Amino acid sequence: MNRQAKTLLVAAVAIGWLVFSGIKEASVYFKYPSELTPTVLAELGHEELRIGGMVAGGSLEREGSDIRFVMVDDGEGQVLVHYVGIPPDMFAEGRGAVVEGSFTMEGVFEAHTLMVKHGEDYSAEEHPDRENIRSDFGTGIPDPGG
Amino acid sequence: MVLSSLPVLLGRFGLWAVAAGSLWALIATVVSMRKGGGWARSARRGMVVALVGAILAAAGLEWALFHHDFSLPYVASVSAKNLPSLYLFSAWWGSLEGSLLLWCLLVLAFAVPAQQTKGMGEKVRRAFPLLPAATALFFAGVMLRFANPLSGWPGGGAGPSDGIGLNPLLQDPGMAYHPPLLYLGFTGLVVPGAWALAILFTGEKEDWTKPTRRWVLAAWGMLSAGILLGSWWAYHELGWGGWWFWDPVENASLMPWLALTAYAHGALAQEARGMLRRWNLGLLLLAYALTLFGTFLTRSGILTSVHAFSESGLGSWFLGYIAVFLLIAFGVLAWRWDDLDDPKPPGGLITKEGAILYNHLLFGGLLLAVLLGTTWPILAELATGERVSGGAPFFAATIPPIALPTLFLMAVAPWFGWGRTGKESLRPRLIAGVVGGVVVSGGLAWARASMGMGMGGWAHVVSVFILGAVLGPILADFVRTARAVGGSRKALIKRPRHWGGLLVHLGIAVLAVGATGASGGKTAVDFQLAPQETAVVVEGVSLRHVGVTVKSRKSHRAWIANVVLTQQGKEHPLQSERRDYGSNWPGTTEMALLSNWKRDIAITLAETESDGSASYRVTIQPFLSWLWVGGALSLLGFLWAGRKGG
Repeated sequence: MNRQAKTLLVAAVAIGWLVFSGIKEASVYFKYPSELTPTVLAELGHEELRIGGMVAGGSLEREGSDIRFVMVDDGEGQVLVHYVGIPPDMFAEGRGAVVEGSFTMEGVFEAHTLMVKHGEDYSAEEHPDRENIRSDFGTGIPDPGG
Repeated sequence: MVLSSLPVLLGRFGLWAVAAGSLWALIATVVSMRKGGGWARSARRGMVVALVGAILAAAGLEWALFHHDFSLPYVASVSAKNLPSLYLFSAWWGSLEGSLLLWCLLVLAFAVPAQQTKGMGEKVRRAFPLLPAATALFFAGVMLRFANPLSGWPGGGAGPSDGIGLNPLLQDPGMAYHPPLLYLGFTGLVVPGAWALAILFTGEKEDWTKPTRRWVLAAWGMLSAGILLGSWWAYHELGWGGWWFWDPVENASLMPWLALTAYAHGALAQEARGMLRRWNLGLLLLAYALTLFGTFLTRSGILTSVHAFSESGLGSWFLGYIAVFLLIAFGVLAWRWDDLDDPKPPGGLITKEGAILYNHLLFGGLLLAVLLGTTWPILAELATGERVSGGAPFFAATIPPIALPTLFLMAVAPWFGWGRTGKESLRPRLIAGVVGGVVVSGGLAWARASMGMGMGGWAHVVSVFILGAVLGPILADFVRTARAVGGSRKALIKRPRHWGGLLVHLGIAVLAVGATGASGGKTAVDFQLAPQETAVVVEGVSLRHVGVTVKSRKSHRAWIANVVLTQQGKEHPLQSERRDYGSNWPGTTEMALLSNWKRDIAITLAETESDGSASYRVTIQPFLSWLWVGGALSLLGFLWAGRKGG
């Protein structure tokens, strides 16, 4: 192996290490409200977490930039979410949302990031629910950046 | 049962013609590779039949859109009677089914003329339709089986009296052009990919880089334009101050771009030194596969859950097709491996070919980071059963350490020589680079100080210096050339590839300054203001809320907030809007924007209260407009490089 090849190999290993170590550090769990059973909640504690689900109808309360709502999914279980800031476009009751943050002592999910879920509900077998947001191309719905 | 109109029936027939024509082209091509002559002509006819079929299908769909034929669920889902003509037309690609049709049509429209490319040998030319025919057949199959834009309601009803309409976020001129541009780039990749596969299958030794250069440039340029336009649209239309979200949809367009950019540099080494043939073939095939992989990621539902994916047949078809393609393509590459050996060993690091090896390594690293960051949720769920999400923090941590060395290489490597680099030619360029770096760093530091902005993070400081280091030697080289040719403009621009390439580099350096400046120095503040109340946003910038008016427009109601933004003592009256599109769609925002070369200030109206007060988010991003300037410079560079004589 000549020197050139050795240097290249070292650089390749360094880049690979950078990427793979980065991904482990940056990943957080993703849960649906119905999965957050008491056992799971106890395990999670105040760990950083992402929750995906739907904003329950009639649950959205806004006072200025102070927002509270309940997130649900198909199963049983709900999560009370508190978020301070301006929600992104397309955020509304009955629509998908993803929040990132952690649980407080009172069991409220304190979100520092609120995103709108989009474009993942495609199913061609039955004509899909056209009410759903279908961001079929281009850029995603923004992360307001908390 | 409602009888469909003739154009729609013709369109449905057209889809079957695409399938039949491309299937025939595929079979005839395989036979022609052994028997030649008549079979090759027959394959060509098959491709033309498929192209005509795709045109018929597209015409049928457009006819249905313009005639509000809501007996087609697709038409009902992406259009409505009150939609303006531009958006009726662009509703074609307003959702999955139509996008597949556009994709299929473009593949065929590129492939049919591209087969005539001058400079390719007869044997390779005969094998050319393999990839485009397979691609068109696959897309036709997916449409006919899962996602037919021209199919009627189950049971054949007349459908609703009006359609749901196009997502209001997509009712924007930028959104009308952005997807087709991206698709032009994606599908343009079929052509170089097809030559690569044909060369591998036939085992011919010819050099394809020169004849396909302009195809690659065109696909690369359109892909770049599509990505830029998408980012521009996200910034201006989504209205939350963001311009890149590391969203899977964005990453899907970035991945083939990275592979193609690596290839474009490798092609230089191949043309000049006959090197890197294996890498180059592999990168072209990979770029093609990545265009499909992106579609698979974003359309199959796999990012939500591995289980959602397994229920969607569409996803399995995409994954299956990509897997078969990769197996065949890289199988043949491995089989031909020894025939494709590099004639010359690479020189040291300080040579063009050495730098291109590192270019491949760095772009490979960027590609790996984007690919892993995007697919990590899937991989982790498959491995552990737990869903995780990676996302923005991962990209923020891994992309700059790989991208900055890439930018550095971009500043110095153009001045290296093939085989060896003469000290006497490199030294003046390095000096010009350092001088440029110091001057540009000083200039921007002054601009920052004049606005009371901080330094903006190490990545930004490095990018600013690199911009100067890119600019300095280019200017020096330009002046030197201008002197040598005695002011003859024709002689000066005689080397379009040289100057075009350097202009692309310069544009990327400018863009990097914008990207690192905006993300490193971003400030976002939320306010709630009563009428005529003023708030200080940052030092030297204040916002006064004047009042809110409500207007009813054709497609929506708008809450228009009048504000006065004061920057450095100068008042700017601006308007920021919220829009309500009725019960089918959630509201959108139209931000107010004050943009100059030093920074962008965006004001988003969050909510209005009955007492006349309003809440705002103000986002300040230094040097953001450099993104668009740099992007435009790069696109000009692509155009320049594509001129005759390159």
